[in-house]
Formats: sequence, C-alpha cells, structure tokens
Amino acid sequence: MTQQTLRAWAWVHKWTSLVCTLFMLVLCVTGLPLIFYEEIDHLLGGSVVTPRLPADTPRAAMDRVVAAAVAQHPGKVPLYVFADEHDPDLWLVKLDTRVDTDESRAVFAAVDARTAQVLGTPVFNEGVMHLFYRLHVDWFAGQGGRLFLGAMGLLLVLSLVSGTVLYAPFMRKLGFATVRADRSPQLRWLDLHNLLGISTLMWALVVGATGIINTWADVILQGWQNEQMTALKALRQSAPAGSAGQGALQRSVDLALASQPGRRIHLLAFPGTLLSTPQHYAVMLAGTSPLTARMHDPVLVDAASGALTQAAPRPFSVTALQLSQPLHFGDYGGLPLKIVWALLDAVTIVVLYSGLVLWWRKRRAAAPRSTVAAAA
Amino acid sequence: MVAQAARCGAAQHGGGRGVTKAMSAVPSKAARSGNSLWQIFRWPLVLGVLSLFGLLAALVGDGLWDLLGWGALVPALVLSALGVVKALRRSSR
Repeated sequence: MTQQTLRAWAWVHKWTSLVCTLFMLVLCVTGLPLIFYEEIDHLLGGSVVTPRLPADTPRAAMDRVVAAAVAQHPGKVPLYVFADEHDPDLWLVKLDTRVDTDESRAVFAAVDARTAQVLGTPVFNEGVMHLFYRLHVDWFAGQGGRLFLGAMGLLLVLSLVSGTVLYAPFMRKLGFATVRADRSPQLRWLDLHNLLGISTLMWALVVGATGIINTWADVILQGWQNEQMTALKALRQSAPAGSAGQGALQRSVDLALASQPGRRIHLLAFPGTLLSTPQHYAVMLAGTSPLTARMHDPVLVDAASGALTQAAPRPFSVTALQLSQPLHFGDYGGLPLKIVWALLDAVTIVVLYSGLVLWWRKRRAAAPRSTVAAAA
Repeated sequence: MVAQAARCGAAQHGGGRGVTKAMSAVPSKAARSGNSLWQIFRWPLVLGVLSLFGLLAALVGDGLWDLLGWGALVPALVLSALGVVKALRRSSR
C-alpha cells in the first residue's frame, strides 16, 4: 500500500467514524437493555399469565377473540393478532384508531385463546424501556429518524471496512494481540482499539448490516404489499362472490392452516394494514425450527368472499428482512446468546470510546507541534 | 486519529532495528521486513469465520446448535478481555 492510499483510507476511517460515533454510542447503550427486553418485562410484571385449564380445552373462535379485544378498547379497530412466542394459549391483539396509522399510539389486548377472556392490556409504548426503544430505533422522528440511523449504520460499516484495511500497516511489526502497555498511552489505546476492533469485527459487521436492513422494514413491506396487490388484481375478477358473515375470521384461519399443513400461525393481519392488502386478511404462517419460525409466508383470504389466495412468493428483500431481525436482536439462542450479545456490545462501546480518545489525543498533540504531521 | 497513530507508530518503529529489538513487547516473530498480510490476518480470519459460524449456528437449530453458537462467539470475547487486562495492568502503575 502506498503512502497515498494509506492516507486515503485513514481519511475515510477518521471521518466515517467521527460522524457516526456518537450515534453508535447511543445505539450501543440503549441496545444493551433492549437485548433483555423480555426478561426485564417479565421481572417488571408486564407479562400476562394464562390460567391453567385442562389440556383438551377447546379453543375459542378467532372472531370471539377479536370481539373481546375490541370490547376492551371501544372505538378502536383491530390491526393484527400475534401468537405469543412462548405461550400457545395466548393471543395478543393490536388495535388502533385506523388500520393505516403509523401504530405509534396502538393499544393491545392479551386474550386467552381458549376462553376469549381479556387477560390484560400490555402497554408497550411508555416507560423507560420504550424510551430506550425509541432512542434505538427512530429518535421519535418516525421513518425519517429510522432512515437517518440507517445512514449512520452505513457509515459504521464503512468505518469497519476502512479500519480493517488500516489494521494491516499497524500490525506490520507486531504479533497478533499485542498491547504495548508499557509505552505511551497513545500506543496503549491504539493497540487496544485495534485488538478489540478486529476481534469483534464480524459481529459488528453483522449487527450493523442487519440494523441497516431493519431501518428499511416499512419500505420493504410496503413494496411487497404493492407487488401482491398487482398480482392479485388479475385474480380478483374470477373470485367467487359471497358473504363472509359469522365466523369468517376463524374460517379464514382454518383455510390458511389447512393449505400448509405442519405450520402454525405467526400472526393474522386485518385488511388495510401494512402486512395485508385492503381486501384481504393475511394469515402469516411460520415453521417450527428456529430458522423457519422467522420465515413467515402469508396466505391471503378475501375478506368479502372468503376465497383463499396463495400469495406471491416472498421476494428476496423480505427474506433478508426476516433474517435480519434475529441477527440484529440476538434473541435466537436463549439467554446465553443474549449475554454474549451484551458483552460484545460492551466491547464495541470500548472500541468506539478508544477511537474517540485516539482522535482527541491526536488533535491535542498536533496543535502545538505541527512537525509530527510533517515527519510522516 | 489513526493517521496520526500510524505516524506515531512509524516514528517509533522505523527509527532503527535497535529500538525495535529493545522493545520486549514486540515479539521476535516480526521479521525484519515486517509481517506478511497472511501473518497479519490469519488470526483475525480464524476469529471472523468462527464468529460467523457461531452467529448462524444458533439460528439453524436448537440444543447443540445453540451450544456451538455460543462457543464459537466466545473466543472474540476472551481476546477482548485479554486486551483490556493487558492495557489495564501497566496503566495502574
């Protein structure tokens, strides 16, 4: 590498890092408690417990479950029904004033899947955890804030790449994992920055890149919805006319489950929401392994006629999004993986901080003695 | 920040072989002409592949796969801890 290319890479590393460091520090710090969101929520008593009933207790029709949730929140309309990840006897219904809101004021009702009794109204959009969440996701600025943080993530990836390129000239005369602690503080910080940075490089790249993809979630889902709408326009004309009527919701669910045996409901989206179309219920089905549980495929059911439509195959962007979520959250390998995630996050904070220290010390050192720069 | 550090490092290293030799922290492995790219990146490469394997392993399955996932991510943490310990040990004097 010539001196000139080295300087160019150093320039890239300096500026991409400087611009994104403060934001990344906030993301790392707010992300730390978010890794343990479930555990903290459970400790704070936020989780709903279903009563013990005989195992063969029949399940309530989905129509009754949703009606109970709407009765709990008068004036609101249902958007989604989520299956609980751990409790198969629990449905979580999300409601809002309209189906096409940004869902920032959405309310929830946890409903017993067997008795259709409302067991609680979990609140996700207030409290300190919600503050951490918003500071991590969009800084209370909606899609704009999300895309801005995505751009900062892009700078982080550039900074990681340029940092890796610069790692080589620094290590020309050093063995791997050397930390020259007996020399100047500058060298100690530098060696620590390099060792910690290179050790956690792959994790930081993966979490950074998947974080960027997550900021595009709404854009990706909207694109998919448009795609499906176009594909469905041709089909709808031939769909048999008829009335949905009583029990239509449960019938939609049954139809969807029968069309893909061995899969379970991940969520049910009402017509007009981001995950469905204006005319269809979308029943998202998922597999049961850790990987396929996150690969949801919708089965669309015409809300008016009750006719089933196999949705167009999932585009690559949606698969990427579905894979990006666990790889960013670290929630797919039990508590030990979460602890590993938290520790790697803490190491990343040290890398960011040491980078700042190196930059600051350099500035201070360069101010009185411009000869240092000339010597290079 | 790095550019300056590079200069700083270059100034302290490029000064002469005697200086380099006198530094106990520099391993004898470092050849006169410096490490090759392979020598520099072989351990980072191993770590990177291990980490990537760990990240994906826990995603593929439960049980043993989770265990492999955690295990493959631990070396990155151990090395980081080692670095922090090394840096702290001398600074407390």
